[in-house]
Amino acid sequence: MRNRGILPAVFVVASTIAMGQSDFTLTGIVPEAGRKTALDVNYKGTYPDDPSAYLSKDAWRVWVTRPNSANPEELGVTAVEKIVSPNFTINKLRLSLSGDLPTGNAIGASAWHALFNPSKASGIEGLSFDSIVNVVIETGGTTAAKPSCENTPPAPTPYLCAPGPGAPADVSLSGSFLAGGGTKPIYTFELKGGLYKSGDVPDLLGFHPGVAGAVEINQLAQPPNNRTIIDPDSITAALAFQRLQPLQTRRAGLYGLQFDEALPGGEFCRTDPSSNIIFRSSLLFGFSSISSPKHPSLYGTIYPVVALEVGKNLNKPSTIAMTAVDLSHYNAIFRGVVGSDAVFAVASQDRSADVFSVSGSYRVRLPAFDEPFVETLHQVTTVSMTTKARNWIQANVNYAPWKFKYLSLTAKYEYGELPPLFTLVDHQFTIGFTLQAVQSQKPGLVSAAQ
Amino acid sequence: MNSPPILLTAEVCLEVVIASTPHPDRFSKADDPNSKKLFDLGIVDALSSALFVQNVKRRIAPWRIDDSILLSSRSNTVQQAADSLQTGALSDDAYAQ
Repeated sequence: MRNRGILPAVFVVASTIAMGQSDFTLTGIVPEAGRKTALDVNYKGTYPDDPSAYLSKDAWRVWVTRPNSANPEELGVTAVEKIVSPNFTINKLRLSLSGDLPTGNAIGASAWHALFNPSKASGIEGLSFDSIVNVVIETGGTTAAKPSCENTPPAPTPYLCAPGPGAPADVSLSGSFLAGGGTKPIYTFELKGGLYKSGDVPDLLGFHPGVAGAVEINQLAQPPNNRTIIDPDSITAALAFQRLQPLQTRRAGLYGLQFDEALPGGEFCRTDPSSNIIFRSSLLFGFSSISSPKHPSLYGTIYPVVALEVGKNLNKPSTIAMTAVDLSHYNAIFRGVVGSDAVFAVASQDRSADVFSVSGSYRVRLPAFDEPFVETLHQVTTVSMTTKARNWIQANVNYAPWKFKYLSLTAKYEYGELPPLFTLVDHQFTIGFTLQAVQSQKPGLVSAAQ
Repeated sequence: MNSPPILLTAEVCLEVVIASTPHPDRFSKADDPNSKKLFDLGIVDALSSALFVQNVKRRIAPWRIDDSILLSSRSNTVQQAADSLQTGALSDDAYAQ
C-alpha cells in the first residue's frame, strides 16, 4: 500500500524535473563582431542543470556563406560557453570559432548556418539555424523576393503599408456623411499626407526633407443643403523638414525633441478665395509615456508643442460667405502657436495593437497682427479683423477591426478655427471611417502629416 | 587617428538597447530580455520609437545602423532589438579590419 503513494510522488517529481528542463529551447543564432568573431545561440526557458550536451563543441557545426559567394565554408568550433553578465540575464550560448572568419561588415552581411547535433545518449533532438542576413547578398540567378508588408528589412517592402500600433498614418483619408430629410447628403472629408524622402539624403543640419499637406473638405457645410458639392475649406501644403533629437540626460521625463520646419507652406481656401504663404517652425517636447506598474497595459502620452508661423497674405477676397469685407490691411502674418497632443490607450496583451484609444490635439494661434475671424451665428456671418486667439481642438476615438488593417472606424469631435480665414467650426461631431497607410521605408521619423 | 569603436557584443547591444529606452529603470537584472517588450520600457508610439532609434544610433557611433534594420516596434522584445542591433550594425571601412 505504501508503494502506491510513493510511485505517484516519484512520477510527479520526475515529471517536474523533466518539464523544468524541457522548456529549455534553442531559438536562433546571431553572429557577433567581438574581439574575435563568434556565433551567439539564443535560448529561452530554464537553463538545464546539466548543460553538457549543449556545451560540447563536438555537438556543433557552423558554416558561413560570404557576400557574393554561393559556397558555404565550414568553420571550426573551438569552445561553447554560456554568456554570463554581471548586469543582465543573457540567454545565449557563445560558439568560439576558428578558420577563415569574416571580419567587419562582412560578419553581418554573411549568411550563417549552425547545426546542433548532440550525441544519441543525450536524448536531445538536433536542430539547425540560419542567421538573418543584414545586407542582401547578390548572387547570380537569384529571384528577387516579392515585396510584402510582412517582410523585415532588408527584404523588400511595398511603398505603403498598414500602420503599426501607435504609429500615425502617413497618408489618411477620413470621411463621413450626414443624411436627413429635406437635405442632400453632406459629405465631409479630411485628407492628410506626409512623406519623407527615403534612403540617403544630403545632411541638412540633421533635418530630413519631405512634403506634407492637409485638405479639409466641407467642414463648414450645414443642413439643409440643396446640392452635393465638394468645397475645400482649408488647404495647407508645405515642404517639411524634420529632426529628432534624443536627450542623453533626461530631465523631468523629457525623452527627446522633435523639430519640424515647413519652408514654405501655403494656406488656401477655395470657397472664399484666400491664400497665405507661411514659414512654420515648431518644437514638440517628447515626454516619456505615463503608465502604472499595476496596470501595464494602460498608457498615456502628452506632447506639448510650441511653434511660430510667419508669412504674408497673398489673396484678399472682397466678400466672405456673401458678406462684404475690407481686408486691405491684411498683409503680414506673425503667429505664436501653443498646444499639446495627448493619447490615452489600452494596449493588447501582446502589445501589438491598442484595444481602445482616445487621442486629442489642441492648438491655440495667437496672431501678433490683425487677421480675419469669420463667425456665423444664427445664419448671420460676421467678419472681424482682430488679434483674438484662434483655438482648434480635435479629439478622436478610433477602433480598427483587426482584419481591416487599412481601415478604421472613427468618431471625431472638432471645434475652433483653422487658417487662412479662421472660420468657426462649431462643436462638430462626426462618425465615419479612415483609410490610412504608412510609408514603409521612411527614415526613422514621425509622420510629416500634421 | 580614430579610436576603435566599442565591441558590439551581446551584452553591449543589450545594454545599449535598454539604456536608449525612455524607462531603462524598468528593466532589472532578473528580467528576461526574451519576454520583456520595448513597450514595457516606455516605447509606446511612433515618436518614442523614432527617438529610440536615434538614441541607439548615437550610442553606438562610430558604428552605424540603418533605421529600418533596427527592430524598434513596441511589440518587439528587448532581445529582438538587441539582436537586430548586433546583426545590423555596420562599421565604417576604417574599422572593418
